[in-house]
Amino acid sequence: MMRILSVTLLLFLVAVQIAFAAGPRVDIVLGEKAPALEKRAAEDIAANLRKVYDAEVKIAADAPKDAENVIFVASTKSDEQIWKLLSLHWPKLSTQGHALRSIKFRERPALLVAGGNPAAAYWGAAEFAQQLGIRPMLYGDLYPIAPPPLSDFLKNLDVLAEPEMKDRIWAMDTLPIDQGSWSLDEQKRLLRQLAQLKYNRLIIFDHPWQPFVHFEFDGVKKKTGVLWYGWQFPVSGDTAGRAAFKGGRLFENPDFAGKTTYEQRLEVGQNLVRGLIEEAQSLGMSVGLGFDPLAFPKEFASVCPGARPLPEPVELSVTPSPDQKLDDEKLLKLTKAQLRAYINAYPDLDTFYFSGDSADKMATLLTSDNKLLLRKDGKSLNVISVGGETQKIPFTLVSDFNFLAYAGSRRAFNIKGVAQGFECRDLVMPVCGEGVDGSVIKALFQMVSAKALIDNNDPRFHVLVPGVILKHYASSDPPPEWWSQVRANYLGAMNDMYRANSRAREGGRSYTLYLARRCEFGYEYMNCVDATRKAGIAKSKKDTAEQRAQLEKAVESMNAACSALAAVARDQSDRGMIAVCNEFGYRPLLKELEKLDAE
Amino acid sequence: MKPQNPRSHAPRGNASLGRSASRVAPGRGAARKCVPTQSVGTRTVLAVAFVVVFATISSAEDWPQFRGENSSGVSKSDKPLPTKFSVTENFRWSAKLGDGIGSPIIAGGKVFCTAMTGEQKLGVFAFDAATGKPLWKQEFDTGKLPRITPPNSHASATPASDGKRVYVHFSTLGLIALDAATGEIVWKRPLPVPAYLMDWGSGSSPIVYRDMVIFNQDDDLASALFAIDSASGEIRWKADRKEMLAGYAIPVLCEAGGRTDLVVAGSGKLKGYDPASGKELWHANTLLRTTMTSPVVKGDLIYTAVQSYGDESRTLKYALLEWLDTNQDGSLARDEVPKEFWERFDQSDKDKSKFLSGGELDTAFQSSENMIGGGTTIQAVRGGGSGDVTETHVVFNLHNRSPSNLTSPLVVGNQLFVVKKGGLSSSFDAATGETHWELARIKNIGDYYGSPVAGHGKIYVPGENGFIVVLEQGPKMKFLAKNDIGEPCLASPAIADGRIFIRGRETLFCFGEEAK
Repeated sequence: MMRILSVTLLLFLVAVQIAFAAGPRVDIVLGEKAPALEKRAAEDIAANLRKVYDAEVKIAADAPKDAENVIFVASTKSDEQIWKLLSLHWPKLSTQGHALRSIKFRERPALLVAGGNPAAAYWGAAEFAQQLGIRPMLYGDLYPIAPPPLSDFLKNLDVLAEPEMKDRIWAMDTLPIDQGSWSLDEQKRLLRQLAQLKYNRLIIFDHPWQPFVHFEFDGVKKKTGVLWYGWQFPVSGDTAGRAAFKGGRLFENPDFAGKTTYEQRLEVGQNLVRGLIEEAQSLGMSVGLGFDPLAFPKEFASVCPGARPLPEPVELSVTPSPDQKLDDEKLLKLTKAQLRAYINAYPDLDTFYFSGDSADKMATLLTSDNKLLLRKDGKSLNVISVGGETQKIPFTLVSDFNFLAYAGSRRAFNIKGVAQGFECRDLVMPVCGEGVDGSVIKALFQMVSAKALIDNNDPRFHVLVPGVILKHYASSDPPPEWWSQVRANYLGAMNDMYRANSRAREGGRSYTLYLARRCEFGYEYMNCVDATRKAGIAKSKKDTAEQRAQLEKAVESMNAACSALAAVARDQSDRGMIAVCNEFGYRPLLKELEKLDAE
Repeated sequence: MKPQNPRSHAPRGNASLGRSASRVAPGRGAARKCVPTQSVGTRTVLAVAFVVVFATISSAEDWPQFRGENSSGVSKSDKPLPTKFSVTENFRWSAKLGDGIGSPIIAGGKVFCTAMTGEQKLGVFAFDAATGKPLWKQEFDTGKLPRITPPNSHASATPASDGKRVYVHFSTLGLIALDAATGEIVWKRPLPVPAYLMDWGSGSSPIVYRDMVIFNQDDDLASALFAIDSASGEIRWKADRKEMLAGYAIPVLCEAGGRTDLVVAGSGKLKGYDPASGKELWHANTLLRTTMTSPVVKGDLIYTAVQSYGDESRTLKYALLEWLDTNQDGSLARDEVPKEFWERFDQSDKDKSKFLSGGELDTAFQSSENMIGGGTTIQAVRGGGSGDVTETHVVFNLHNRSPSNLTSPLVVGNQLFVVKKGGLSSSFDAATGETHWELARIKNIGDYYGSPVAGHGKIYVPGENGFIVVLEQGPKMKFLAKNDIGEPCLASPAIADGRIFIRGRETLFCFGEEAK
């Protein structure tokens, strides 16, 4: 009796299981000793199939005999057992090459996801998602609004991807408006998206005043260790766009919250960088650290030959004067002490990227010391000189890093059927539907035009430092014509993105609405700048009524700019932008208005 | 779609207390006073309880719908209200609800409010107004949600209550009546899901008039005014408003000419209806294309303040070509309009070209009899008319830059007050339209969605940024305070019994003067 009950119960449970598995069954075959990245590739494919098809997915070393949908994930490092199964179908691949190939397995259609190495197999899984219509944005995946039927999809794939660009680099700087404000967890999520986009190199740029490395030299200990030059960004009280901070009172990197001493910040900073290195390498990326080998925290002025302050918004660093000999023994020792400190702090680093005007010479000088660049494991770090280029931060008020990252990723590989110049349509259409990409591309062009106008006329115009807005109040020159062109570009881009958003009815609106609001931010920012200048002109003419009216308009525009961004703020960079605009724009303008009222 | 058992959310014993209270004073809910009846001489305590309950009822101030009595936004209580308040000053209580922008209401000592409590879940909450004690919570599965445009919320409607029941509207569910004491579902009345060309999303709220729930739903597809039996949920009458475009005006009641008219503002027209039958009695062709604000009534005058984007020539066509014509070719393809409008598109595509252009576009979605454009207006129209009252009943019609497209006007004392984006306020003499002040800043720059309310000689202006500015009521602008609730606020405050209730984007707050 008990046995009958048990069988009945079992059958019931099986029935329940089947009832819950609404989608098709898929078997993913993976070698028993598959490298970690191949396992990850298989897991990603499984997760995507579950999400898109509600599929019942099993990952195992073999597929059941009656399996209808079989996917193999393999690389040249896979088990022999897998190779035996797949050798007939294996495409010719370079180490970075990867392929999706519909094959026959046990006389039934199957799919091979192949990579020239485990990382390439992982990119193969990313290509699988791409072909399915999933789009990896930097903030997360967008899913297709009309995915193809699974069985048809698996039967008809023949994609071979070989790199046109072998180094696909993502550089992180450490400002409040970029990843310098992201916690390790947030950065890890970003790295996973970058891996989906097949990026294979990460560079983390450091500055002498940041808390990522500690060193001592000639009796001097490093003691400057702050983020963002030590600026504080309160976001309580009257803060434009404060909804983005969800009740927070201070904008800060969450990992550094409450860390008040140098030692505490150093510990957090090093954990953060180590975490980044570990995560990036686990995703098949190499990791480099970028810094100026001739820049030191200001406390090292006494031991740095010919020391002078580095031109920065806050003077926290020193560097040798231009006429200082670089092969000076003391200077080289100081440089080496800092370099070794980096190697000791981050023993798994792959590369140093030297920045600064003397980067080439320093690279030559320092690499001549064979032991200097040795890691604990006996391998030697590479040194690459990037010169002064990295000091030109590709900063802009409005841009679409999602598109840039995506387009860069697609252009980096030679994939049959992927047309250059159609990346926008390729990005947008599967997740937003027909008719959207035309408006998006128009908007992107206008954003690029705005940036070009700024870069050509005043590259420091939008570098957000103290006084970035009020410097226009101090001038009585008429607003230059290019300002109105920039504003018109942002306005046009905003309108096009709102049209794109209206059309994206079936999905993908997190992408279109964000960009519409971001363009609105740019437009209102330009309105603020323009009104501030007009207030300055009125001030010089002692036209107090006009001065007040324009100042009010400037305040209102900056408020509107921050509110527009706050409505869609999705990460710490967005919140950082709002916090910085408050501290360097909104509040100083309010103070001027109050001062005027008091007068 | 099956609603959860309401009893599972009701506090134990609350249902029976509710029934006990309804015998004493139907529809009033201060029933907790009856609890001790088991422990002392029943008759004596019942008598005491009756006195206590009666006292509570007679002194309790209700704010039973959007902006209180007849949507006026004015509290008639003489109980002092706090000028300064925050979570540390004059703070009574708060409750985390979830995303929402519908305003709180108060009936029988209970506060009712709605929120999204899950991705596809609407929550209706009841709290004790004095203490903030949760009384019940009812949740509904909403199904797939329609598109909306931020900062709108799916929980956008303000409930209404007659004390017995709470009436809640939700886009995909229609109207729902809940027992005010227990939260049990009394009835459900599905209504057409509103459709918006620009994806604004739902935002209309019901009111209660006698034994009817009145609900106006002006959308871009099938605008209509509904009267629903408050006890049964049956539709008593429905008045088509096909010439109306999307809007969010709350119906108001105006006693004039010996009768009570139901007045609804909409595209181009202010209309008076017979509340018993839904028959249109009069209309004034004085409004603008898009009317999102609600009128207010004082005496026999109906006040509206409306801003509709563009000038008087900007009919709907121009907005469609600006925002829906994705490829900017000067005509609308079928795919460029939302699916809900495809049938209307096909009807309007007279030449079967699969495009709407020129004259086709003029009348595809805007009634040829109501081709009104944009502009601004602040006006007073006398109620009680008949037929076209445009030339006969308009007391004043101001065209200045003062009105907001979102916040409704406030008429308190002899003052007509409006506030708009940027924190720009204006005030006029309610009888003559003469200006007290115009476009003066209230020291809180930002957006304004919630409408101002007044009580105890003060005007409370909720800013989207979570600052509530308090002004002195009167013809001279006097700034009293700027109070911070710490989160965005798109709802209108409610006032009852010396307390002000403010619904932040996530949290419901109650403030009241601390006992001295």
